[in-house]
Amino acid sequence: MAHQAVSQLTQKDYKADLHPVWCPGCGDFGVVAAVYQALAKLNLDPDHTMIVSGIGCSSRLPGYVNTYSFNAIHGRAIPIATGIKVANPALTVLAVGGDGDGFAIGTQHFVHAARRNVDITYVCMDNSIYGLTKGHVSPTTPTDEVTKTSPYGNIEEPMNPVLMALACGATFIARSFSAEVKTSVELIAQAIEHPGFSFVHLISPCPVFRGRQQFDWVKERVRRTPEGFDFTKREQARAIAFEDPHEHITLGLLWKDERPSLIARQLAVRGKATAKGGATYEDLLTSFIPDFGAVGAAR
Amino acid sequence: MSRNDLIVGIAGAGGDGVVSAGELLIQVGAHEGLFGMLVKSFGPQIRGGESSVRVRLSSKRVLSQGDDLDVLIAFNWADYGRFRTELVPGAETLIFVDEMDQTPPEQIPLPESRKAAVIRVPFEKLAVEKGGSALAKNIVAVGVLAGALNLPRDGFARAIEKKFGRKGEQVVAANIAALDAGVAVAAEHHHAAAHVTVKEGEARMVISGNDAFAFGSLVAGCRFFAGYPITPQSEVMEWLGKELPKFGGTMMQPEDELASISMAIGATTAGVKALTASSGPGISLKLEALGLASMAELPLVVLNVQRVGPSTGIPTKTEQADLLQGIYGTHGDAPKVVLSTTDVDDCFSVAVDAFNIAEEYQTPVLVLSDQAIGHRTDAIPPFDLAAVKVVNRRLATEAELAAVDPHHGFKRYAMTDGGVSPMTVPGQARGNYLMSGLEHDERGWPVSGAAVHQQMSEKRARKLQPVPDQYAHLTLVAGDPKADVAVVAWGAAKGAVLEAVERLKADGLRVRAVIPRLLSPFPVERIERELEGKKAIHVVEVSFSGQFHTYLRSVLRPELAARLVRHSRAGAAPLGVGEVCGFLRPQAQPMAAD
Repeated sequence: MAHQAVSQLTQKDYKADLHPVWCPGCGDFGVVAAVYQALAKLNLDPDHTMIVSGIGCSSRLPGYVNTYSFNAIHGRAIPIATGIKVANPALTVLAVGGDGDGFAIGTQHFVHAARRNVDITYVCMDNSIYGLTKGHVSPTTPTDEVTKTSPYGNIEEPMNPVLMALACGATFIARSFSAEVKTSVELIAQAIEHPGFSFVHLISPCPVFRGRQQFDWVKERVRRTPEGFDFTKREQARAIAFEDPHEHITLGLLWKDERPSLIARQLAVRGKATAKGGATYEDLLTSFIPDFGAVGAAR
Repeated sequence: MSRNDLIVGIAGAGGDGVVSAGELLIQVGAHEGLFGMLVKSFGPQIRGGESSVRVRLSSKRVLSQGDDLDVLIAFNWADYGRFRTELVPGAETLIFVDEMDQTPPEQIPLPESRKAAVIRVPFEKLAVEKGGSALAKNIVAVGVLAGALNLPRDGFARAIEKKFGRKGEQVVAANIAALDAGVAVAAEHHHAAAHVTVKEGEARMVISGNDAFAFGSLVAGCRFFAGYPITPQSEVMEWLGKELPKFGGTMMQPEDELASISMAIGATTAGVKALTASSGPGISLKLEALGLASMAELPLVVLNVQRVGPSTGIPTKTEQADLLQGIYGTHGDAPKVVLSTTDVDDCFSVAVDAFNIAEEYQTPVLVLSDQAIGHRTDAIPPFDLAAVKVVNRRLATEAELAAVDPHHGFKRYAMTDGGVSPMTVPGQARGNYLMSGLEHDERGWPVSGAAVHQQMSEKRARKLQPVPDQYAHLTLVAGDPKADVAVVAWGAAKGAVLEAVERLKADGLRVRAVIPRLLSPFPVERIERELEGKKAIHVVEVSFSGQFHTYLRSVLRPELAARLVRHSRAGAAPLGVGEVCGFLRPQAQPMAAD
């Protein structure tokens, strides 16, 4: 159960004094605005909320939110967030970062966090470029795109984060676009409330290294989930996950499943372990001292 | 003459019950109040291959696995052959082999001089006849050992009763008959010199180094462990996986070493004492995150159960070659504390020290254990739980946080005289802050200026300065303080070194031994004081390049550094007592007439 603030907070209460280093026009401004509003919408107690990131432009986000925040190392936002949540399940824990952080150097953690259904929310701000290092090809950069490290055009196929999340067993998958703050607020708030691993793929264009055309390209293709779409139907979610981004980029809640969360299962393990009354340090010490009991047949 | 100290080796095929015979031997010895050490060794097969045990039992504390065997039991020569360098018979060793073995004499893997002395015993035949199954041949062997070495037959009988009790009285009776058959065989082969006199004493505990470290961590308050299976660490996580949930804690086995240390960092960030453990290859992967814990000033304990390197090396064998990685491995100037364990007993107490230091100084603590300690089982006095003192991190109080200026926020990295700043954990009102692997100011905000980086570098280093004095007990000394010759060693080398010093003393030669368990920050003053006036300082270690020697040369005063003599070699074989005596004997001075 999430800790709520005593009085109703507004988005301003979640804004830290630290000034963003992001470039003008960066999509991440739209994301951080959505984070403020989502936290305010749920009225979460900032002192019981923790936002963790790795390294990258978008990984600076925790510093701009007035909660407990951790700007850690490249790729490790998810396991650090997992350790925090497991250690103190009363906290609301978000992991945030970019496509390089989450789908290159930290891919394995995404895969397994989804599989183990750890109760955290992961927001990936996908700009399809390494912005902090000033314009290198990323795992979601479209094929043929010219970057500083794909000078003849990207020869690799981009990764599909939503399809991957579905394959890995994520129980909440949503997609938004940084320019659509209202949609982002709604989806981030729902993700936080979801018991289990929730993933928000947040397309957040980089005007500096991908140019205005990236923003326009996304804007032309985004659409809402179609009329009658049911996010609990696997085949419908699969159809969206497989859609060609050259045609459509569907925003909204794309998939939701119910499965016991990691925290619920860990609590069950503790129950099993202590079913016979638990243990003391003295019990454990005694278990190491050989005891052959009373003399019987051995006489 | 009775030595009150004996060493037994047993080797055989998978299914011969070699390991359970060794375990029975040390368990019964411990129950009778003896000290002991059990070292197991296996062939390369995943399961079911040849195996050997080496058991030392003594009425005095066992320091090392010793040198030559007193008794050797080989169920066949082919399997013994693989362990011939680990189970070396001496001139007096009683050697038993199963009479079914048909190895031609020229192929028997023994020194020519000892081949004639081999005693052929019908282990398997007796097992079938008396014990009802060939499976009982290890029990016949235990009977032979009990008889040959004057160990109490009744103690083994009781242990057998306990071990097989569930299988019914018939099985118990058959195994006791097998035991007695072995005792009868040994009546003609009593070892004249080697036997122990069992006194009415306190029972010992029987525990492995890895279990002891896990237990010590739990008692120190560790409630979170994340690790990735790796030899020779895995027993630590297996034990904690079973026990932590009983104490409200959690063991996790995530996807890799990076996630393991990252999860531990997360847990400690949330205020729960956390441990991660690995061996060389995994520690290499963890180093980046270890630097994060140093930068973010987080309490964290990391255990490295060292094995032979580099790369995959020899996973099941010992080496002390991760020392410089441990001290310097992280990029940047990343202060941390490095401790070492020197025996099984240490694994418990050093684990407690590690958590206490981590908590008090808000620092990662790396503990270097190694395969030779982690995998061996000792019979030692039970740990004194009442003597354990647990230190917890000092959290900012509610009053302190109430005084925080909301416009500037909580100063997590406030400059203090000692360098340790008040900290908070999530959930503390008004205590939130930005923790970061980026260089930061007092609030945790990222900075890139030279002046702050200099100040923060000083702060992070300064805070660890009191550790050597506060943890002075981590430096061990032994032998004659007036000796001209000193030997300095660390980690698992301690056992053989201390036993060598005792052996030389018995021969009238004086040597001083200095064993630091705190390796960084190094207790320079204390060690220099101990080495003052020594003409030669022998550095004994199991590292091909002599990493400890290199380290000592860099930290000791030049005139002491100039007197360091390096004795180092690659690992796989543990350091032997005779080997160390060989280094020291020509150098050691006879005791003065006084």
